[in-house]
Amino acid sequence: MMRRARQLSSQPVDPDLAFRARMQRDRERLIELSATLRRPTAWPRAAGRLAAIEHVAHGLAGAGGVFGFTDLGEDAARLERLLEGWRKQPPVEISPRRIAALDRRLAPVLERLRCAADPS
Amino acid sequence: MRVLLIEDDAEISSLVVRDLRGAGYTVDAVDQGEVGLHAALGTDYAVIVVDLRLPDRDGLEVVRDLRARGVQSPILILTGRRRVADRVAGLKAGADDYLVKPFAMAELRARLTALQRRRGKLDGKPPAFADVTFDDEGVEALVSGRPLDLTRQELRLLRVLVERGGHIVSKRLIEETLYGFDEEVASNSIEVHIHKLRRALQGTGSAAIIETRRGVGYRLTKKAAE
Repeated sequence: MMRRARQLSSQPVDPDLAFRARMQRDRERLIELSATLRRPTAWPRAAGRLAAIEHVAHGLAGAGGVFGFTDLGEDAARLERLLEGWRKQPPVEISPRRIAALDRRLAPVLERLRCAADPS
Repeated sequence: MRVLLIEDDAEISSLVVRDLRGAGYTVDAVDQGEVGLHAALGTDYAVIVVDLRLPDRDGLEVVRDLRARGVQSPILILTGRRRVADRVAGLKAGADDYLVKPFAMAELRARLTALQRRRGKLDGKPPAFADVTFDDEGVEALVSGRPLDLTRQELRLLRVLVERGGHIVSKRLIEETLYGFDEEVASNSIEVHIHKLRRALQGTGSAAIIETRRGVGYRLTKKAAE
């Protein structure tokens, strides 16, 4: 057998199973990131972690619905929009009010990820 | 039909690749804009599907670059950006269509077919040669209206032969049509597929036969009337 020289990527065997595993990873990542945002923090110090949360939310917003997790996709899209707004017009700091707003958008995403990982 | 997918979401990419290959497409999947750009410059893709949020470059820039470098293939943007302004920006950058995530695979396939039709490579009817044709989705080959039991690769091979009805198709073109970047190719795989396809056609009594032109390629011809 020869391998084509132009190989650029390889595909997981089962995308549905791979997405379930990813949801688990994304949930852990979101919990880890949000745990570091419990206190008021100046924007420049929080921006990187918020961008990481936004990135995860963006991915779930797109892929959730594609894989049949429509509600997850919609909740993730709401979270993404919140963080996109902050990124485009950065506040001076992540105040207690903003932390609460983040929690409100994050909680349903985490809950849906938990339910998807453990359907029982 | 060969499609280039530029998408960094591994699971979405796998899903699209699996579905499109199952529907008879050849799919090259890459996860970076720059790699996709180089791939598109070297191959005449039937359609290029581009995600907008790529790790190395903005997808819109990739679309602009593709057009600036003379790539004519229809481009479909696949993105989570749903605002009208984003859609307008995508189309202005040179894309031909825009599909917002989440999407259904059936819609993606329908849009790919529509883009091909607009490009003039399809007239809306499935290709046909003698008594061989395909269903509307292109996932099943038919001989005199009866389904032919073929593997995915044999289906693609038959399609490329039928689309060029009567003309010789080179082995290299067949190989490029049948295999994506990440698919393994055995040195005699084309001959094996041709052999099996020939047997499948003979088994149905089809009027179409595959002729070998040694050192050149293969073509479909019509069996002489007995």
